[in-house]
Parts: sequence; structure tokens; C-alpha cells
Amino acid sequence: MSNRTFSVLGLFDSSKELMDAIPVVKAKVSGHLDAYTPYPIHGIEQALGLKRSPVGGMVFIMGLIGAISAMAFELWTQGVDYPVITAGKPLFSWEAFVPIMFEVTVLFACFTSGLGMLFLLNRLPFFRQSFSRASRRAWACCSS
Amino acid sequence: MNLEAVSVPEEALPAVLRTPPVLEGPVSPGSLDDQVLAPVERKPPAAWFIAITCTSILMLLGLALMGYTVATGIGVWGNNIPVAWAFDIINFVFWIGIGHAGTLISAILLLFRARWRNSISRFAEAMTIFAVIVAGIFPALHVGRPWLAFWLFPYPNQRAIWPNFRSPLMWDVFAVSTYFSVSLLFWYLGLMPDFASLRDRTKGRIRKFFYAVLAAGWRGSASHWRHFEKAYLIIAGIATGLVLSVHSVVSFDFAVALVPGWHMTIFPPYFVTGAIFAGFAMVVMAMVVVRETMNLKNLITMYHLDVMNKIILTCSCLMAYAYMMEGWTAWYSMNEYIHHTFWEYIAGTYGWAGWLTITCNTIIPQLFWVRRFRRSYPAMLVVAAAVTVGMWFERFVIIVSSLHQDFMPSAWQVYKPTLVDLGILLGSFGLFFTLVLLFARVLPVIATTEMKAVLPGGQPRHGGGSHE
Repeated sequence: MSNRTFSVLGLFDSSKELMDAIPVVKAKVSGHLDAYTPYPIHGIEQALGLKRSPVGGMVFIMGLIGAISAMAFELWTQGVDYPVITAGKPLFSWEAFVPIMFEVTVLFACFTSGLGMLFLLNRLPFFRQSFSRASRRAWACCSS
Repeated sequence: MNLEAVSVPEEALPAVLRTPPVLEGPVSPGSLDDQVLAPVERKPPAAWFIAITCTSILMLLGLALMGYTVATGIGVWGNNIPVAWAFDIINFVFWIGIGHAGTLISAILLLFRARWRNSISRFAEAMTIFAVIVAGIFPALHVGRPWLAFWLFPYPNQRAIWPNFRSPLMWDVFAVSTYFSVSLLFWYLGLMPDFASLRDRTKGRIRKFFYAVLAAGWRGSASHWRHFEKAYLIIAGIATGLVLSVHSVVSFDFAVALVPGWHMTIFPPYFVTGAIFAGFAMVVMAMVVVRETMNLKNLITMYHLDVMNKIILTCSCLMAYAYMMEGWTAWYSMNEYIHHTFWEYIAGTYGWAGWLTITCNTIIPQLFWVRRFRRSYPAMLVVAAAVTVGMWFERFVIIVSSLHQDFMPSAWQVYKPTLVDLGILLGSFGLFFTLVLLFARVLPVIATTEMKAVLPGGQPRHGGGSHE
């Protein structure tokens, strides 16, 4: 946890007022500008100058790792470590391993997306500051 | 291409072509909070206590009988060779199916940008979680020695044995556990901003602490929202594939086997449709109760119920097609075993169950062609109850009717459930509804954050319109 100071620059009654104010504030403030809103407002990232979220790339890489590791593990256990012919199928019957490969891919991808977003990108949990009005109906705009 | 230039303004369209309003009356972010989040802060009404007492009694009955089964052995059930799968697997398939509506509403309809889903998605997702919990109990009981159920998972052990990954039952373990984990994650992510709202508005210290921990410090920062929205959309996209895969894998438990009546390529789509069908019926029943008892008539409108009933009607027609295809496949196969099994479905020992299935799933839902019935409580409750009964019996027909007369006539046996079987079935409903009732009191039943984002004027970059 850092000792950053948060300063509230404005509280607005509607998302429209906030969106109108962002360019004005941005022109005058040099620091990092953020907005606290009860729900996601479209276009606010561009207005604040935030970069695109890297979640997509993370999910793709972890999904790929999930797929490869699941298939490799299945081939190794069924064909190398404990080779038993079942249902008359060959030892390396990869077709029968596809359903589990799919499920493991989904598991890796979804948890990367969800937990990666929370813990890595958003650095949660974070219990120091609370912007109690921003979660409800006010639209705040802060710089830190 | 500029689509704006060719689209006709909403007001210029005749009334029937206009997008119907999703919500009734004026709704603002503040009023939404007060309406949805307030009930969790109040003492529940007497009716809630009566309801949860009834469901808890059923749940305890079921749990006691499950304990009896584990202590004595599955001989207390009616299962025996050749009907080795009976109520346990029927209930498993039934409850997993109920869960599918929630994921359909939360994931697939999110991708399709169906605006009406926002009012019902949270509740349906919760029902998914609870249905999968209930479903998960049955395979564990069915293996006979639930304390060894961990053998199903691949872990390094001193016997150097691995599970058989070529077996559809193994696929099922992975499919269902992935489905549960991902549904729980998706549900929790959706709830986080609502937990933050609850944290900020509740007064009691214990409650505040509870919600603060669950919200994990969510503060609605724009730099968080951009990751959140992307992550949520990606999970929805992947969950779409997941929900279609789960019941397909459940159907592989049957379709990969050689039992006549099971060994059919139509099973995956047939099972997925049936699951969504039964799940929507359950959601409609729950929504009628929630709408009436929790003062949410302006948020869950007749329009929502109408749309859900249309989905039920669509699924009903697809089910009718699947049933006809079963008959056609039996005829076209020119295989006497499959002929015999199909004949058993409609005219054998369990012929009554076959006709009950057909009546409940394909004939009664046809009422929904009439708009008046789609918007009438008695009609929709009758249809939803019929679908629930019909879908349970469909699995009964598939499992018991196919198994009781297999390839070897000398082994043929008529299956009869015992009182323990029936008690556990009732208990599963008790457990499910107990969890649903607890959810309705402790957590917000409507995804307020998602609703706020689509309220008129909520998205200034979209001409003041909604976000989807």
C-alpha cells in the first residue's frame, strides 16, 4: 500500500456533467486523472487517456497454456505413464482427450480473466480508501 | 458504412415495431438502489419465514436420507442391474439442466445484447450456482463410497494409477467442476460493484464489514472499470461455449454408451435445448414469486416474463422435433433393438411416463402462442410446472426405460423407486429453494450496476441512450 494522496477535484450529479468536465480538468491538471463512477461509462477511458486493457492478451496466453498442458498431461498419463488400452482405442487417442482439453482451457482462460483483472491489473483487495458516494449515485473525478 | 444514415428514428415507426420499454415508470440510479438494496437491510416478512421453514424441512429430510444411504449403502435405492442408473442420475441431469438457463441469460444474452436480461440475470445466475450444487451431490452419492470421490481427480498417488481420460464420465467430472467454478466466478464478479454499493450504504458494523470484505475494496475507478468490462465480456464469451459444452458432455455419458435409445448423435443438441427449456421454466416460476413478493414490478415487467415465455415456447418446439427425430432414427436404423426401445418409450411398462413427457413438454407449452397466456400468471405457472415435471420425466424415460430392457432379455427387470429415492428427490428441491430463499434475503436480487449503466441518460456518449 502506498501513501499516495487522493484529491477530489469535483463531484458531479450526472454522467454527462462528468464527461463534459473531464477535458477541462485534464487540460489543467498534470497528474494522473481518474474518475469514480457507480457503473462503467462508455468512452471515459479515451476521455481520461487510459490505455486499452491487456486482459484479452493475458486470457489468450493462459488459455493456450491450459489447452497445451491439458492435452500433454492426458497423452502422458494415458500413453506413457500408465498405458492401458481401454475401449479398444489406441494409446494416443487424442480425439477422446479433446473434451477435457476444452474444459481446462475454459477454466484457465476464465480465471485468468477474472482473477487477473482483480489482483494483477486492479491491485485489489484494497481496503484503505473508500469513495463511499461514488459507488452509489455521485460521479467523482480525482487526481493522484 | 454509416448505419445511422439509413436507420429510421424510433418515433417514426408504427407502435408494433418500436422497441418496447424494458422498465416501467421512471427509474433512477438512486431509486434503483433503494428498491433493490433496501430489502436486504430489512427484517424479512413472515411469508419468507414460513417458506424457508417448509423448504428447510424438505432439505433436512433429503439430507437425512442421503446420510442413511451413505451409512447403509446404495441398496436402499431401487437401482439394480440392469437399471443401475436411476433417480440419482435423473436428478443429476435434471438439476444440471436447471442451471443452464442462468448461464444462457447471463452470458449468451449478454453477447446478443438483449437488454431485458439485466433485470433477471443476477437471479438466474444464482439459480445456476445452486442447481449445480444440488446436482453435484448425486454423482457423489451414486458412486456408493462418496469418501473416495477424490479418486475421480487426477492426482499423483502411490498406486501410480491415473483416471481414464477417455471415459465420458471423466469428461463429466471436468465439465461440471469447470462449469461450477466459472459460474461462481462470473456471479461474484457481477456482484462486486453491488457489494461496494451495499458496503457504502449499510449502517450496521457487522454487515458493513461483511460487504466490505466481499467488495474487496471495489471503488468504481474508471481505470478499474475498463479492465472489469473487458474481463466480464471475455468470460461471457467463453462461458457461452462452456454452457453448450456442459450438457453436451452430460449427454455423452449416454450417447457414447451402446445402450439402444442412448447411442444417438442427436443427444448433445437435444440435451442442451432440454436443459435451457427446464431452466427457463424454473426461472419463470421464481420470477413470478420474486416480482410479487419483493416489490419489483417496475423492474421485472410483464415484458420480461413474455420474452422468457417465448423462449420456453421455442424450446418446446425444438423438443418436439427432437422427440420426432428419436422415432425417425429408430425407424430408419432398421435395428430391432432400437425399434424395441422406442416402442417401450411410448407403449411399454413406462409408456405412461413417455406420454407424460410428450404432453408436458410439447403440448402444454403451445399455450404460449397466445399473447394473453404469455402474460397471465396462472397460465405461465401451469406451463412452467408442466415443463419441470415433463423434463424430469424425460430423463426418467431416457434412463430407466432404455435400461430396463437391454440386449439380454433374461436380465430384464422392472425398476421401482423406493421411498428413499423419492425422499431424496424432494430433499433436492428443498435444498435448492432453501438456498434461493437465503440468497433473496442476503444479496441484491437484481444486478443494480448493470441496470444503472443502461438507464436512460446513463451513457452520454451514446446520445443519452442506453449502453447496449
